[in-house]
Amino acid sequence: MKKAAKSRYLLLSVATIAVLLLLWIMATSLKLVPAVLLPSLGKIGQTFVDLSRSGYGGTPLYDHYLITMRRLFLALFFAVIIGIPLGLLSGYVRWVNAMVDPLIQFIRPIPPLAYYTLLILWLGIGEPSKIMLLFWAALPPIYISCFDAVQRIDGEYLQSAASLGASRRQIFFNIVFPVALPDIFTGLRSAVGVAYTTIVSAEMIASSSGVGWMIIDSSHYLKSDVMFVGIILLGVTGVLIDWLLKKLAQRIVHWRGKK
Amino acid sequence: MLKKLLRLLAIVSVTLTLTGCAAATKSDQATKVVRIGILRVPNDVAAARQRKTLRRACAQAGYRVKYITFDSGVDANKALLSNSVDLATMGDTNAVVAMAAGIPAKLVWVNDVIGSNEALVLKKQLGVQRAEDLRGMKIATPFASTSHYSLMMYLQQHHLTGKVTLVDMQTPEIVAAWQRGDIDGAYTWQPSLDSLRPSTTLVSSDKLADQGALTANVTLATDQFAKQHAAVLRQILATLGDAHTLYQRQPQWIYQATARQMAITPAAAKQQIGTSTWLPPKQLVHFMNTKFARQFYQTSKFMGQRQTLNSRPSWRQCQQFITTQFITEGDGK
Repeated sequence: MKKAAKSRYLLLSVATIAVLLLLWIMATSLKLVPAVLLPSLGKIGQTFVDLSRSGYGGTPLYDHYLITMRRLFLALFFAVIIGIPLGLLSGYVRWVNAMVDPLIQFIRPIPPLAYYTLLILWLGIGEPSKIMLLFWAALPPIYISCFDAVQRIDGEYLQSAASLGASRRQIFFNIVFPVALPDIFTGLRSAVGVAYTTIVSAEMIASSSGVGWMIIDSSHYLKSDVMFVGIILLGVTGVLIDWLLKKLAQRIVHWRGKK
Repeated sequence: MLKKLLRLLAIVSVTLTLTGCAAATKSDQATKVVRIGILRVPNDVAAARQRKTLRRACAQAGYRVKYITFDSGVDANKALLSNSVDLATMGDTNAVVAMAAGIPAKLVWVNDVIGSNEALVLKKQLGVQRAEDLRGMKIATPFASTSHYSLMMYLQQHHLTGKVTLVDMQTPEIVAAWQRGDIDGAYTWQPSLDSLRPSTTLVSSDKLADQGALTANVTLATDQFAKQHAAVLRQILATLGDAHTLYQRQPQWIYQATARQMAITPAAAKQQIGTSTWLPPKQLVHFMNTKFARQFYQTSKFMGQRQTLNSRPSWRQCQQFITTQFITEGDGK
């Protein structure tokens, strides 16, 4: 029964996408909308092939892609190695919390583009400013999920461990960290989401490479087919990364939801 | 779930129809308003606006003028495409983009031929004296602009294509990057050009124009507007023509008018206008049909080769895109 329901919903998802694509094909083949506003699927496919073969702006398409991914993953790497300890400690140690929390809470709601120009003035137009922007976007979700995870830990666990003679350090590594791990993965997934949505902004200013830059630059020349290729590429990659993280979480934190 | 799906479908169909209808409904509302996209530069539109001749000419025909300021021709193009403006001033490279993308519009006016107001400057301490010295340097320019085209042409002339790093920046960013030392030089326009000091000027757009790489600022009118409001379009261009004639006879009046409009000093306006050429209507018609049309075709060919265009426009397409039929010849009294 449950399986049948699941496949029914899957069918509905597939059908929705199919209908949308059909509408798209209809609109373009009947020339209901100008090609500049909505290029045909065939044209987008052709553009993708052309871009893969001859590149964009003198750089191969896969290089643009790798450059973008490199920026994303470097930023995420730093956000993880700084955000996770900071969040856990902040949840576990009061004075760390008192120092760090206000800062993160202040940065969190600011749209990244608002401080991007400032980052460029401070760090220049090279890679550091771009990675820093993505880093600041990715840090708060990771920090907050770690912090919340520690806050939610059953006090009994900690008390019983302490009464059995475990040190604070032992408690942290043997109880706090494993219990928080599922939430850390959730935080990581939302961090990827936020950093990912910031990527076009990061590549908007003073750049000449990356998928985000390709989208912006082609918009200067009203090449909507290239814009669509870039957008689809980012979309598919985004879904893929999220799916991978979900699988990874399932593998590593197999104890999720069990007591 | 089904409800959700239906709602999604409804939204999609509505957006699809809206994009189709937007063009139709807007023209009805806009019957008596002319929406002009302008750049923040001391040009003929700024002068005509300050001297109120543009507003008067339109009022006589029963139109109200609405100005919309754009930072670059890139945004002006997007506005033309979405039918948010009737007329827009932009660099001719953006006009090439518009033509290649099939935007239903015509090039109806050349506001000015770019002169010393756009130039390639390098940091003085680098000691650059010849084009050859540029090898390996990092030069900023706003991509898709006339400056970008001029820079690419200059590099091509000196066989430096691909040997110099070009970075895409808007003019305020160029000034910041220059001060930080992130770039070695820039091809840009006034007033940002003046902020790049101390500098050596390697080449300016008037020199490139002499060598066959001419750039200009032009005005595009949507086909719809040109067809339905031809009379007022003629009026507007006649007003701009008067500004050109006045510039030939009494340039100081133009400096004063544009300076007031831009809230700068007349001396600064003079500096920013530089050696850009404002041709009087009679010469302009000839220029647009001959030299400019050829240059425009050359620009489109070059941009087509660089694969920055949707299509490779033909000479015929260029000739059809440029029209002088709305210009009233005669020297404006």
